[in-house]
Amino acid sequence: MKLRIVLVGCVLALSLFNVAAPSFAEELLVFAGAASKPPTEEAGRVFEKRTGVKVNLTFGGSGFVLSQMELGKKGDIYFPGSSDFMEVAKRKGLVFPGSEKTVVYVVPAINVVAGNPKAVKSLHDLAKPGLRVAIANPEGVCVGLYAVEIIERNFSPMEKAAFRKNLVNYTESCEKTATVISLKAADAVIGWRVFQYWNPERIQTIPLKKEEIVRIGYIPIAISKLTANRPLAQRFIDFIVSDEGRAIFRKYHYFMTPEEAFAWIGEKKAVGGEYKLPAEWIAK
Amino acid sequence: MPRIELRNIHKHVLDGLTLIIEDGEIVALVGPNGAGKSTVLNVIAGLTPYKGEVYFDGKKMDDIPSYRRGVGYLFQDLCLFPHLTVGANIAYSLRVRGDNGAAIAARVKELTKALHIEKLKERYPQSLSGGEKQRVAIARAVACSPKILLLDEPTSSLDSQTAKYLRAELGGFLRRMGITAVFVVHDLLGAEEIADRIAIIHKGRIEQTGPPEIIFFDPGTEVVSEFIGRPNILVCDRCRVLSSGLVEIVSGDVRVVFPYEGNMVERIAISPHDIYVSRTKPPGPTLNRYQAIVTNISRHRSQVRIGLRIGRTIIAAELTDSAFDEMDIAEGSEVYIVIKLRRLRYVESKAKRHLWPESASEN
Amino acid sequence: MTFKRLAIAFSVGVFVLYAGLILSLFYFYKGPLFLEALCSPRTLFSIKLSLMTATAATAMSVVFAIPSAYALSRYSFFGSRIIDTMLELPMIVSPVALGALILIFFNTPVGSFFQERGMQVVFTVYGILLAQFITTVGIATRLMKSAMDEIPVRYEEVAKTLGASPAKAFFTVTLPLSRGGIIASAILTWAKAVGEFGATITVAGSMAMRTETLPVAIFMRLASADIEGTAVLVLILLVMGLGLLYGVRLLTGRRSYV
Repeated sequence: MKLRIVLVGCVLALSLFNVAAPSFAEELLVFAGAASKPPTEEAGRVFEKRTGVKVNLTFGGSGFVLSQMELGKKGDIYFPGSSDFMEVAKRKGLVFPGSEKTVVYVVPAINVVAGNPKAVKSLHDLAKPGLRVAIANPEGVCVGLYAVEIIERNFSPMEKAAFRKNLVNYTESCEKTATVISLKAADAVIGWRVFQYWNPERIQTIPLKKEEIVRIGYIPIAISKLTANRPLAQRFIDFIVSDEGRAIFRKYHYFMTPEEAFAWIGEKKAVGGEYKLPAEWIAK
Repeated sequence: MPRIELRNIHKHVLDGLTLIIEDGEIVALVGPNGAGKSTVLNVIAGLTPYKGEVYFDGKKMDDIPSYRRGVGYLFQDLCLFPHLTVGANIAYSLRVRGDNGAAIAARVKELTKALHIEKLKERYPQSLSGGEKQRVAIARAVACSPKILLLDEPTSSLDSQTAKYLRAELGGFLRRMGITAVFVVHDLLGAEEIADRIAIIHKGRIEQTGPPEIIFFDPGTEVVSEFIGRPNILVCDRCRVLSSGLVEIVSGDVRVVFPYEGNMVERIAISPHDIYVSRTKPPGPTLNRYQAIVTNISRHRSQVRIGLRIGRTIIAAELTDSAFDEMDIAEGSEVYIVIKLRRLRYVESKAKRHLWPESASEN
Repeated sequence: MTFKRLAIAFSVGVFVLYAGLILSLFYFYKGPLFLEALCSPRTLFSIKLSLMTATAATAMSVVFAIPSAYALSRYSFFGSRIIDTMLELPMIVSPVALGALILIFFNTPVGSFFQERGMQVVFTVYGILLAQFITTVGIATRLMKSAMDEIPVRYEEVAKTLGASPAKAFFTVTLPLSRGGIIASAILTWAKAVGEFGATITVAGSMAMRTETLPVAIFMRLASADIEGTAVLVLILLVMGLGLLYGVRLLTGRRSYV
């Protein structure tokens, strides 16, 4: 009986060691915002096959994974879903500012339940009474901040009040904003144009008028200061922004260049930059 | 006070049991463990579903749930409510019924006085002794004056002293109230002290019912006889009072002297376990001692029953097989026997005249 | 080492583990930030919301759990075993999955009808109540069933022979006797409701000053990469939660009926 226990214990211990032992020679740890999960996963796979380097991807809300990277004190690449979290990362000294590259560009738009049951045709329809609207949390999520800017720029004070009345939720991440539509928890959200492609059966994009859009967003990537292998991290970034890498993203309907984005909107717009959130939108 | 009638009851071991308990009677239900005694009580109380019919005073009770049958029940493990004081326990049925406070207090006082537990009213059941708990349980069960009281082994958890005392009190109490009672015991030890009738239950049916004397002295079946221990029943040919408190009877070739207050004894029953057998002459006076010849030996489970012949009379002794094996006795052996009087039972003669012939030379 | 000392060592070990985690909060602690966060309307709202919804949801759970527990404890009826296993649903299925289930339900014709004609649940305080209720009612029933199982059925039989109907027997005997167990279950349920996060945020969202309970606020801080803020709110939740639990413990005391 005792012998059996000892044997089982040995087997367990050995298997643990097995699990811990790496099977690849080199590895990369990427903290990525879930906004670009499908293309990022594919890019990771291609890179792995190409170079033999194992790419470990951790997805989550951009801010959440930044916290994880900071507290875990490890990570090679930070690939948030929007530019403002890159700014936070730079401010916290967690990434090499010089290594930042832009991967793709995203354009804000209105997303509604497929089939548009509430017949939302334009931005001002969002102030219609009885409509349930959501935006991402402007304090933490880029697309939410952009949404606030669009409202501030385009709505009269009365319309703004009506819009805020319709607001049912600040979602906590980019992809949650899309999910809100998939699950019909709200009638419309201000999100990214690409949301439609994430779930075409459930989400439909209603473009904003060109004058309504203030700026377009971009998804940046940078090397984390916590990396143990800077050259390898650089190789990954180089791959992502290469034609081949970009093609993967284009397949998922992201805009590769600002020009592509402007062409779709019909006007040239500011790219990224900072927008200060008016105090009234933040509960303190 | 109702007459209880059980007709053709089927439940668990009960297999077509039929029993009648008369108005105001106290009946002892006896039988070995597992015979179904507690089940009978549960059926009367309506605590368990059953097949068959139960009547109280001719009224069919089968569709009436237990809490409307008006049957008091004293459980073997008492089950006093631990979260209530003694007083609250006793008052429980009255509160449920909706009696007013004053009436309840008066009744509780009356009962605690009758059962000598007045001082315990504010105590909690956990702090009481076995006998005290028993009294509280009785008070609680009779508080709302049920017409029927069921008792499951009411004294089995008490020491024999307390048990005897309690049995006497209980008997008197039940008779005064005129309550029809059925109580369950697994041996006859105290049953005869309070029961008007004994019902012997065997294999889910009533084997025999009757007053204690009939059961003991006239067992109807082998089973009953077996249950009461197949005593030696000696019909008294002659009987005389020796001095006050002492009597002598003669049955065949056996003469027994025993303490007895009354007048005439018709029959005595001696348990085979009370016949002491020995190969050598036992020390002490020769009263109630004889020499006998072993007629037969039979083993049954772990007991050995020995047939003994004293002159023309044959009686039986019973001992454990380990005790027997030490004695080296066989058929035909000559042995000494001593008759112990511990549990001797007797039936008094109804006749007033002496059974001792006037012409007898003994005196 | 004696057996007693060994056993105590284990329990002390658990305490040290938790205490260690709490102490490490202070690594990111900023004194003035704590006071600022504590007194801000947003945090005060979260505290109030958490306390109110948890207490209301617990009350609802207890009201449901007591009779259910009694049925499962006393009666064996068709399907009782399935129901008993089903009570474990919230524990097996993660809270987020539970929240998703609720959202999916409100997508069905029945659910959306209810929200149109009845009242809005998703992204409202009612969503919080529903999420907390659904997460806790199963375990509350389970715990109370255990408490009632401890009370012998015999007591109820005794009560019946004394004239009490099954309902009366329940209220005057079983319920008082299982009081301690029921209170303990309610306390545990409350603690679970206060700490509920996954289902709450999925169903009710995370809007500050509207549906942001304390656990949700903690997550939002972390999701904004604000670690100091997270630490402060965690500390507030700990102090509030543990403080209240301990206070209730002192108040209810212990009385065993064995």
